[in-house]
Amino acid sequence: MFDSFVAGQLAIGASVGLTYALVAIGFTLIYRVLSAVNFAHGEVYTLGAFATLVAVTTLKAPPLAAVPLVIVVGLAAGLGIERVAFRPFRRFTDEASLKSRAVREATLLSSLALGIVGREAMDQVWHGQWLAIPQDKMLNQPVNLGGVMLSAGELAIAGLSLVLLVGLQWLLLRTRVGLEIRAVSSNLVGAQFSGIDINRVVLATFAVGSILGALAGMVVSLAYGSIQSSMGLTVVLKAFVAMVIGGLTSIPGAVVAGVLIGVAEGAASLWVASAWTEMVAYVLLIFTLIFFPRGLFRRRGA
Amino acid sequence: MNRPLPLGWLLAAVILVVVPAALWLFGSAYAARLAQLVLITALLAAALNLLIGTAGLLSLDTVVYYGFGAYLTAILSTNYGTTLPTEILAAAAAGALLGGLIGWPLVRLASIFFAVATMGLATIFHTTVLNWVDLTRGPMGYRGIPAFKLGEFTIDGWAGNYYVIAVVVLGGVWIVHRLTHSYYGNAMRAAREDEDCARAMGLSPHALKLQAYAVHASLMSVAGALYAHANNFLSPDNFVLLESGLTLTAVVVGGLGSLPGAFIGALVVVLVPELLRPLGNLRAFGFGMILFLSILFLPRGLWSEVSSLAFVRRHLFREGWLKR
Amino acid sequence: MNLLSVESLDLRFGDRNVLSGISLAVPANGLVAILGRNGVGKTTLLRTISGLYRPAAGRIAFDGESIGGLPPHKVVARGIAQAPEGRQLFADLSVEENLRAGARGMNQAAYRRERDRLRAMFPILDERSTQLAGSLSGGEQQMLCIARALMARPRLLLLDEPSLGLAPKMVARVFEKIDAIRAGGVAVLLVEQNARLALMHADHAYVLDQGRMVLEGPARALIADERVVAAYLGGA
Repeated sequence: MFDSFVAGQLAIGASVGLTYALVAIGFTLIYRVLSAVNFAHGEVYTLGAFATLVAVTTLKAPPLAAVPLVIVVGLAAGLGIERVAFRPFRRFTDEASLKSRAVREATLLSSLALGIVGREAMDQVWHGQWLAIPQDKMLNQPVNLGGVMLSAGELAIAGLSLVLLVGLQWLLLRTRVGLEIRAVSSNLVGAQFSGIDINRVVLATFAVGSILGALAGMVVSLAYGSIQSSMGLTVVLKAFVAMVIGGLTSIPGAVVAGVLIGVAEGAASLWVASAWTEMVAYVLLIFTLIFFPRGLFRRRGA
Repeated sequence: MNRPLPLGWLLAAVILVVVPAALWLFGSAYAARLAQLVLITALLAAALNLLIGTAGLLSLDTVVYYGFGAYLTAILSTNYGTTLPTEILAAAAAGALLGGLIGWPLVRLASIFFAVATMGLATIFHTTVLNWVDLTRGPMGYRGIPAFKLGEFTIDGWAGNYYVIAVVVLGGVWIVHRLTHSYYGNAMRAAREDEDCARAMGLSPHALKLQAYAVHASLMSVAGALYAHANNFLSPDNFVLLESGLTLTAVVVGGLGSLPGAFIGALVVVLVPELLRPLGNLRAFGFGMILFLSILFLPRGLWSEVSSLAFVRRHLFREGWLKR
Repeated sequence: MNLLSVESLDLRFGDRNVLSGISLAVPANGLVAILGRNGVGKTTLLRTISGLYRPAAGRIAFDGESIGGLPPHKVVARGIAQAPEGRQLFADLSVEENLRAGARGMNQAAYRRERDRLRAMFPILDERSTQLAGSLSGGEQQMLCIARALMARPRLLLLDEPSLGLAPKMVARVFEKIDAIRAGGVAVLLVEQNARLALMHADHAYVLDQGRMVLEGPARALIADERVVAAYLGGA
């Protein structure tokens, strides 16, 4: 029996899940390199959405023309976060302090603090209101996919996710900087002895991760049309959950877990009031951790 | 910090005599409210300190147990007219039980997994409080919680409220102090530093962490009971993840493992945002900045057990502001 | 002129002196050994030369230019590579990728040339090229570690305990490679527990104790020195 309403809810869930996945990829990448969590990542996502809004309203650009602006904003935010919340804690270069628990927890808190400051600053600038992308700029054309109605924006989310995922694998496996990122995440001390510039690799990681996060903010704002300064908070928490369920260091794991969360939320919305669906990700998280205390997809050697 | 400290007596004297005197001389109802809030936050910070500073578990679930105790007390006192001792005992016992149940699977998790799981708990709790309207009255909030009752007497007015809170908070902090500076506290620190080594010494890291977690939940739940009466009103908005961040900030600012630090931290996180109030809604911005700056400039407060007072004193001496 | 010269180097961790007044020299194309018991600062000295620790005082000069305080990647770029203690390989990367990660600023053709030269020198790396580094045996890992350092085309190779944990037959093979590397024009500074073996291959040696240089001299002289024999070679 094929129920197009059910299928539609699940498909929407999957596309929402892909946005969690996009944000989670940047998160996971940074975690792999530094063993540190960047809690300010959600604000990069929000900035991406606001950059899109500015591009299509103030600059009157067509939606696609927002891409370069969003990339620049994401890049600047990523480099800024690294400089302000992470670099100061890498004063020492030996392995004991670079990945130590103290530095990990200090950067977790400093990025959390920076995230709060950034979110509140945006709240001041945009007065905490929900702002809307103009209808004619939104990607809201309906698309009929074998009886399941989706919007062009939801398809764009899926498309962009696939492109970025493939692009990221290419970057990691086929380029010099990708090799260096993998080398640093595999053995930081070994990377230093091999002449790899750690700071440069960390910056590159933040740049890549943050550009992904900002692009996610862009496509979500174009698909759903509304933007608010705290929109990144919910998403970053879910992305964090996705990273953890996915096993912390596995990028495919984070993607699968992100989609899983989205679909579970879509499925839950069929049975319970929508207010309760907020809980789904966390219930999923806690059950996963009870049975798999280190997540579902642990990379070998990690 | 290992002396049974005259500092403790000094602290008690300040809280029980100096602050009330100052409030009585210069104070306002507003100042008294802030003082109560500082004390409650200090109990939360002390409880969190037990978990982070001693057991090494970085947790973001303050609002779960704090809110649990608060709603429990609100429901009990509104519906059954309970008195203070019953409520404190009920909050402590129920908090410990809930903490024990939740902690059982949770404390096994490695640091970052634990932090995320507690974050998830905080969100689950908030969603539940917001949506279980029959029990919590939902987003409208729980209004008209009666004042503290001790036997036949109803305690009202700021002085009575203040003293009830001060005594309970000092009692709670004393418990944390005793736990931290005992064989038990050392065992927990040993388990924090090296689980395998602790296991080899015959300690069970899981049991130790679980006990610390249950005690912290119990104390936070008591803090919630105090808050319910002090505020007369509860709203789900009092128990969002950000409020967990506030307690965490108090701990970080005060210095991990330092109990006088818990009071100093609470003072900073309650008062600084209040001072920013004239500039608009900058409360969250304010404590975000405090958290950031203290991590950056007081790093020793973060991962070594330095009494903040000693730190401040050393700095003042070095700058020549105080004479030794 | 000496390729590497260290003069009155001090290193402190907090308020503890780890190295004090260390001086040593490695001539171009020389093989110099540093001997000493466990925990006297040999590894720390090599790590300081590689830029992992910042010296408190003294001078480290390579080819006449001061390199003290440079970050590790710049030290490698100047021409000092290290095969560190514990090997520090990229365990979840392939052998080939480990070599590639060690290569600095060369184009594809130069990389291939260099890699093929090292594969000729260490045939085992050719056979295992797609295997993960973590799955190699101890001796193979040591070969890979040295090869990775050589990928940077250094003029000075620092070797920290290359024989540690290897079977005697493997140790002999590693030392054959060290002689070959030196014959190829790369100077070597070697830290080694096995003093007799090190002295048999080195031209010059230093003895480190408690963070200070206590003895130095030509290897031939030290191997005959009663004090060295008593303290370091007696049991070996």
